Amino acid sequence: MMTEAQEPSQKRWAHLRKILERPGPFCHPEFEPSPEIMDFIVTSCKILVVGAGGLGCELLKDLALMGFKQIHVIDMDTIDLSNLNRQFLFRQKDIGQSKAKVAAEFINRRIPGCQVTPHFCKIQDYDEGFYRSFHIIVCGLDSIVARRWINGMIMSLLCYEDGVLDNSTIIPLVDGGTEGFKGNARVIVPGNSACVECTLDLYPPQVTYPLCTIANTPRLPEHCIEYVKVVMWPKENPFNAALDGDDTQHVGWIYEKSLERAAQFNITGVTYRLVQGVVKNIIPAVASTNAVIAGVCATEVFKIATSCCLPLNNYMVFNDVDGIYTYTYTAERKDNCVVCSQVPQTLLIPDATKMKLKDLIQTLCEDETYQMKNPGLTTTVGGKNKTLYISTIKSIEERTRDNLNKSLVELGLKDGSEIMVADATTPMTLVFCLKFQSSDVEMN
Amino acid sequence: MDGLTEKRYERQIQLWGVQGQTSLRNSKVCLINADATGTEALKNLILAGVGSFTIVDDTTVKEVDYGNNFFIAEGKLDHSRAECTYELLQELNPEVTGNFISEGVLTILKTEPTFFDKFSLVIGANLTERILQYVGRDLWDKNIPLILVFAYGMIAYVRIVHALHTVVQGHVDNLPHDFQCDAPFPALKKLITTTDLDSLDSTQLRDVPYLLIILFYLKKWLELHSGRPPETRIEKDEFKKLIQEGGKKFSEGNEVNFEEAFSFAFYAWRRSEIPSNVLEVFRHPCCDSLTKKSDTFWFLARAVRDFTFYDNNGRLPLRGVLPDMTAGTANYSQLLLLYQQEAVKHASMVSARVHNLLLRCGLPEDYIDDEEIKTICENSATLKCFEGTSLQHEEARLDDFNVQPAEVFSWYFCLKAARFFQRRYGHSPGTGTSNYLGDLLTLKSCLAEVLNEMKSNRKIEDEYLIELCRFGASEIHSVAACASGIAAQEGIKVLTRQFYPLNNALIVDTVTGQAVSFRV
Repeated sequence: MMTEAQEPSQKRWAHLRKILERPGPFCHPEFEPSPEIMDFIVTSCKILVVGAGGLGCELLKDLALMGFKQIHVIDMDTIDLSNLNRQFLFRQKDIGQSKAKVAAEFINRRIPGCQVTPHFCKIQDYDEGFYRSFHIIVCGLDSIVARRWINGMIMSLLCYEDGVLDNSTIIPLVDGGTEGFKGNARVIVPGNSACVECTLDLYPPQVTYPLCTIANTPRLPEHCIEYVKVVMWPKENPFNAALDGDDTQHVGWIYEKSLERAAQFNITGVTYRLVQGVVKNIIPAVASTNAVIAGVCATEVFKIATSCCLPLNNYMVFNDVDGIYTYTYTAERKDNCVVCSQVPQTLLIPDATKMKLKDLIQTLCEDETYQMKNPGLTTTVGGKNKTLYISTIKSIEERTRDNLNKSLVELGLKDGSEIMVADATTPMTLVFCLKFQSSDVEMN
Repeated sequence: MDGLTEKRYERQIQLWGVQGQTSLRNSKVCLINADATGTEALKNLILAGVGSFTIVDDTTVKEVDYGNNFFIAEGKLDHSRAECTYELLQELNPEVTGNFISEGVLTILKTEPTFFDKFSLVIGANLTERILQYVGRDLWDKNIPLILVFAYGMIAYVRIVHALHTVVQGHVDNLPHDFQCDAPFPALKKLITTTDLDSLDSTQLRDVPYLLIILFYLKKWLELHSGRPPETRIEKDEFKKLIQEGGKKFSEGNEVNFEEAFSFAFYAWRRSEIPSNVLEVFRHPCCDSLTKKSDTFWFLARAVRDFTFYDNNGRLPLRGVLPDMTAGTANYSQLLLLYQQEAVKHASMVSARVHNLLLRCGLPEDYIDDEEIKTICENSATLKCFEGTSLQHEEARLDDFNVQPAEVFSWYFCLKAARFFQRRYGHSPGTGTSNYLGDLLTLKSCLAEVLNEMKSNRKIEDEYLIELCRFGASEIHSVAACASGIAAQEGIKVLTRQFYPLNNALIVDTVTGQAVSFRV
């Protein structure tokens, strides 16, 4: 028995009903206007919001006010004072508490009938069983690794029978990102449109200062601060703890030492704020950009759930530094995408007698196509499982460390061998087939 | 600003600095119409830390408000919407003060014609033509910025109405450096004269910043070419070769600083020109006729102009910053110091002029503080003024055939037609419960009248008008939130006087996920 507030025919949804109960020429070709669509939104449609930060708060509000009631939100973070300029579901008294929990409570209190379920944990803590239960997943993440993981997860849910995709296994993903005045929103229909991995080149690697500049020829105040952060702190370990940019004592120490170093080189410009910026790697953030991108994403979720219009196809870029700049285009799928294509992945090995395991791992990390963080590799040699190297489990790392300096041939790998790779950037195990480029000598 | 406040706004102070944040704190914002669109725009400004806000709304809460407005508590049917939204908006940020007036804006203006004078910014959400006329005119005459937001079905429209807006800190990406190689200041000239790269060994050469390399070879070039910098394509290539040859002293080929000098060689022939946006500011009548009532911007701009043309041979004041250059610390610092010291000289000359201008207008010398003078000297290249278009003059100025994507731009005319319809018939097209398409033909003739008034030959397909009727002036929350996010950021630009604003209109089409900005 639904409460009064859950009654979909209520007047409160009059605005949305116009869009859902009236046909129009710009609708989705398969759209059939009907009061049942609103029913579906209010009673059954299950949405997962990944992230309860700047975008997450906006998304929760937008979805709740578009009629969605079955919403789950997942976030591993707690609330900080510097969140309050944009994460408007939180107040000063909430500092230190779980973002997901406080956000869910706020929405449930404000919007009657709305049932936001919080998950105060990492996305990696859940498996396919959890993610499979949603109709649509919308992300408001600030981490590329997390994005790739979610992307990998929904791709792994796809079922192909005789090469044909079972459409009931598709869970559309709407992904938003913001930084300062810039933002983007995209719609990913797994198995159909470009996935996050297809467009990895959209995320250029972070620019860092070269070590020789920092160590030998600093010129900017940032160089001095970076030196203290990267060289002095690990060496002197002043507080016997990892550097915490929010700890005023830590930042204070870095500030003092940076001033000293700057004085040594006659460099001016070291300020406390600059130190904070370099130490915390503060990404600027403001409420309005989040509102824009979340608004676009929530509209897309609504369009996908109701088919009232065709979804965004499929990538929108937004920038309001100078006037307003927007650009919408169709990001293309990569034919041999590591994650979403069905194409078996091969790794070309120029000289397997010379290439060491650590070189292979370096390629997997640095190559634009793979951009892995800490890949763990296993294989089969002579029919038996063999762990090549896994850095994330201490005992295995110690046991397999010596393999790093051995060549691929020494490790028993052959042309055509398959290696299984696990990494933080994907929930799936990726399989690579090694293809040795034979030299003339070997041909003999 | 106390520590807690700074921490709260830490992420946005990264964008507009303490100066910008202070400007926000000193501003007063008025919202006309606390519907979903209006409250979303105001929410973003409150979160950003404006000083105070006032909500003007004479309606009472209806059931339909609960379907799209986040800032109305349950159980408030028939209460004043101004009051209800004020309560939930106020608690977003304890540092902001707010109030509300449960009256119509036209009623207020009748008894209090100076009502708007105290505001730094007015936001109008989904205002009718009638209200727009009065409010628009009043604010235009007072040069108070008015940002209009309309959310209509799946379409949104944002319009900035502001007679004259000025910006100092444009935060322009990739601004060319002001090395001024074509006219090195005396101290720099001295350094160039005492620099002899030919006598340095490869270790010493490695330490030379690229700017000094360029200046050294430029000096050589000028001596050989009667003081003429490289001009033709061939000459420019020759010059770059000089640098390349100079770098060959290193056994392993060019070093990084010489490679940098090679890629930035064009600074050798780049003239120190005044950008067009700055010339426009200099030529503006406000720059000439300064009075006691002039905005501080014009005193500063005039001082910079006079310095540029009377004290500095047509060159803007030096910024006093250099990009990082691969070089030894001492060499880089030495070069940087020269630029910094020269910039300080320029700033003090500009400062003297500012004080003079103030005194001549009967204002005290400290009316403008040193911080502002320093800021304009560091940002003189991004000075810009924006002349707005009043609501009354929209029709005459629109150049409508170049705006792309055209299919998104068509909505601009359609929304105008919808407001025209509302003005004439008292309700929006398609708002009847049955036969919403009954308004189609009437809407079509409204559109024809609108296009005729604008002297436009534009053809708009019937599909747009059918969709407009379908929308029935519905206010979809996600669409409103998106448009209001844009409007709020434009508000922040106006209040902080930083970043170039939208000039001056935008349509957002959430059907196709596209937007188009244009100037009416």
